[in-house]
Amino acid sequence: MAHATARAVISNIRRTLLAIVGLMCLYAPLTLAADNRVGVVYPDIREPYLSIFTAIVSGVRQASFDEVETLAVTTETTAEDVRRWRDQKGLAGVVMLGRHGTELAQALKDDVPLVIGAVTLSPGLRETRLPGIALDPDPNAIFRTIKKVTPNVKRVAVVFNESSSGWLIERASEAARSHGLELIPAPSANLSEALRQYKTLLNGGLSKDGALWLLSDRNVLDSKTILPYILQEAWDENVLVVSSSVEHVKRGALMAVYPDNVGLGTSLGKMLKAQLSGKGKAGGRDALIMLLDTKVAVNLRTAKHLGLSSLRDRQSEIDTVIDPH
Amino acid sequence: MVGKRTRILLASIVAGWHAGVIAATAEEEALLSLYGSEEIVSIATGQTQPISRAPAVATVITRDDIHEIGAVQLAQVLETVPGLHVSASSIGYNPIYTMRGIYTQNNSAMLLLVNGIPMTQSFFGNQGQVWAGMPVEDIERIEVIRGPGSALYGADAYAGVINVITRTAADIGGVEAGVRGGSYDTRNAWASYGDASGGWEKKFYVEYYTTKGHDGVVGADAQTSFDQLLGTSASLAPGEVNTERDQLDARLELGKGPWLLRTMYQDRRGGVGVGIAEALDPEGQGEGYRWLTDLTYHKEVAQHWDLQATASYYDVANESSLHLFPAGADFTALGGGPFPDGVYAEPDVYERHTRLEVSAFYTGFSQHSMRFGTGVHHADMYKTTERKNYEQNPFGIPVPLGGIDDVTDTNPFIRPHDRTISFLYLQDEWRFAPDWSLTAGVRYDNYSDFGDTINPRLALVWNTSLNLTTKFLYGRAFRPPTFSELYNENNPAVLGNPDLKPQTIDTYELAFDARPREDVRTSLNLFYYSMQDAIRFEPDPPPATSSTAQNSGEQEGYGGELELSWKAARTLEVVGNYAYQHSEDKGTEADPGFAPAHQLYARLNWTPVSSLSVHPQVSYIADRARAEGDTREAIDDYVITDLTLRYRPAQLRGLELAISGRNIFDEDAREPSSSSGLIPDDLPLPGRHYYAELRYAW
Repeated sequence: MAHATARAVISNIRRTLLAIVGLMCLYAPLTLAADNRVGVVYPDIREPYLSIFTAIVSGVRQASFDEVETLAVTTETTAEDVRRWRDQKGLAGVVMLGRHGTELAQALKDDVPLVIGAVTLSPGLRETRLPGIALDPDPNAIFRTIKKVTPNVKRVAVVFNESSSGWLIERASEAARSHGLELIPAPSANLSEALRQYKTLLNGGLSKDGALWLLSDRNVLDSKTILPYILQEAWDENVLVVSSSVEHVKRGALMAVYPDNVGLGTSLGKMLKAQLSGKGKAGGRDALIMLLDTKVAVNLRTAKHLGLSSLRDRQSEIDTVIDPH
Repeated sequence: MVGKRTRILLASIVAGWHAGVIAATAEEEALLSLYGSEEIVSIATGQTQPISRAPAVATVITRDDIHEIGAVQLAQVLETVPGLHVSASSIGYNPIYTMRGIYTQNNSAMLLLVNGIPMTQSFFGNQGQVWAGMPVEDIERIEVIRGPGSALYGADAYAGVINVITRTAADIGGVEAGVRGGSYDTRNAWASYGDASGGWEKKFYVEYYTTKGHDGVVGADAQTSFDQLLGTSASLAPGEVNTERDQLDARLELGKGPWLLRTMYQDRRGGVGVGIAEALDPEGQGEGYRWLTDLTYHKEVAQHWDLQATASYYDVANESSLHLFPAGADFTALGGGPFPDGVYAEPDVYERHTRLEVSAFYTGFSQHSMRFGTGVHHADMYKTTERKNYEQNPFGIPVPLGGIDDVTDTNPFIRPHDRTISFLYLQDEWRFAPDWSLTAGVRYDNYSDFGDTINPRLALVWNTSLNLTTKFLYGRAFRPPTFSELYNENNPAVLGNPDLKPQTIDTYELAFDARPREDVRTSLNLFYYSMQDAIRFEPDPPPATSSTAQNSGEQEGYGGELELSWKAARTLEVVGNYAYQHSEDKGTEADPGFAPAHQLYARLNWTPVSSLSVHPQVSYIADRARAEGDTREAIDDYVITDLTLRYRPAQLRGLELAISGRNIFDEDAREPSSSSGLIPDDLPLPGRHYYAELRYAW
């Protein structure tokens, strides 16, 4: 009898285990499928801007998701619309792109795993505490490029405004050190002070192994007055100018980094994946990072003027060559 | 009465549209703050390649420019290039690309390439008598080099080079289609497919264009003169020119890795303009086709070595049925005879061109970029046929044959001929100081029929300052004698001369390219040229009435072009140019005629809202002298004004609507007829006309 009871218990345990395993087998693919099915929300925008987003979407697809659904949004699109779309499609998480995508993300952040992207940094953006990647290049990307394309550069000077870019300079100092560069920060409270700093740097203030890094910050760089002055002086004094704006390269700066949108999409995809697997940040002050997926544009005319013939051997490092005349 | 629901619906549509526009604008603003300009967005997203300028005076016209111009045909685009005026031939209204005062009746002074491969026929040195241009929907950009290009491109890169670059699979990146219709029963439809994913490049394009042609009237023609002389009344003048056209263009491309296979087909049918003999010929027809297939291999084969090899095959046919003079023409009083059905001919020319070219870039020497190339070209006018109902007496007067006879073997205008050209070129760009580079190049061509020709070029480029580049240029170019100039026979008017050598031109240029402000780009080019051994048909000694081709012409000229592009506001751009030229025939010490001394072009690109763009443009053509011996008064100057509107609704991405008014002030614009003056009032251009267009990209 005891033997029979034991057998029944074992049989029950086996049945229960089988049931559990069976259920797990049934449920596992569902869980796997849901985690591998994500969405990308992007602005309904015209060309050439649309290409930025289509490239990001193709990058997200490369982050080995099974399916990537897309939704083009206008300001008419509400958070509820996105929520409904997410439910309909059974999406595990969403990449929210653009300005309006970020606004929607704020309303959805507690319900939906998400990351934001393709937005430019603004004072309020960090306060949203949303995870994601901004379009503004990380100083590491700038310094990495400087080391690759112009390895003779040892020092990088930058004119900055404490209140708008102080946080960036702190980060940049560390990044410069890690790339074997010395960052020379030149603080300025307003445009006229910035101009004085540029004058000092461009008229002998920079050693032969120095470069000037231009921040896209209206508090220190005005495109109508200060930029033409900087580019003219840099040409006359053979100063190497690096920027995060390709427009500056077109106008005479030596080089700039700009977003690699496919790479950005893949990074966003990986970030979302990490979040879905519980390894990534779902929010917080440092959850929004700067862009590390960048490409390089070089002004060939300026490179020739500076005598950078070694660029010829580094063509593989250069994505876009601009020869404006 | 509009119902309440309708009003609400309309209001919500308008509100939705408005909100969408604002949203798009805010997103665009945010992205613009990072990228700087739309042009940079296009470059950074790989949609456009930044323009890399050759050490020459060059104009690059992009697809966007073509849309802003509102062009439907290639000629309309080229008219906007400084120093280049597209005139018209009385034969088929074929375009005559007139560069810096260099005009030829057969349009043989400019080299036209499609993806780097010449479209030239050896018979007349032009694109064929049945060509009449090409539509623009498959064009990605057009590069026009003013001045000589023979050191790289060889034959016919004489007054300039036009290189039409078609769209790649990646440029299309999906499916596009469009339709267009407008005045003169013009209908146009096209479709493109391009896919560059998965390592393969696949492209297909097809376009059909048909028009009845404009209704310009010729008041008097060559037959009018005969009627007055002989008392007949056969002339169809005053009557409309026949610019009816059907064009079918198709391209298929397949690429993988370094290999690219392209094939192009063009089919042409159309009226003969005024007529082959400058007598109105409303029944005359030209038919032609061209196949161009090329296989290109392009790869960086080793460090510093970039190799390209292209093999191409070009098959082109021109078939015509022509009424030289209309029914009722009667030349009996001149020793000819009566032609109750008109003077009729069917001259056909067939050619095949086989080319192989290998070129390499080498950048292994410090401060040097070298380019080498070699190749062979077999030009074979393999078949010429002619049927006609007349022969000509020794004075060139038509005598009836009694019916339409095949004279291919007995009395043809030309017989089949071929030539083989082998060539070698070398070019080196030497950056001998930080702001200086010297490009030196030379090309050697060996022609199996007339021998050798060597054409050098030099370009000294000085990056004078941040915003100014100065270029000093010298180049020699040649135009080989055409088969017509070498071998014309049985033609009492113009006879070939197998002893001809190529005509040459030496050109010196000084060019300034300046960007005085961030929103202004300007350039000034000054040139001087000297033509030697220009091929002209010179009268033979009496009693002969014929003329024979001779290397007898000499011409020189000078002038300049000024270009301006001004981004006046974010929504407004002004582009324009002015060109001046003065040319002199050294034999007559007179202006050789036809080409405008002054040419002005201006266009506004205005985008009042992101979904709408407005493009008015004006083109001013002035001071076209008559050729020596042409006693007519100088031809009138003209101003043609066009207006193009493009609308891309924000709510229907991919859709574009356009309307374009051409010659909206109905200017009576005319291009010069030949110096014979047989068409005394010249060749009328289209008056006011319109088209509407709809395109969609998936």
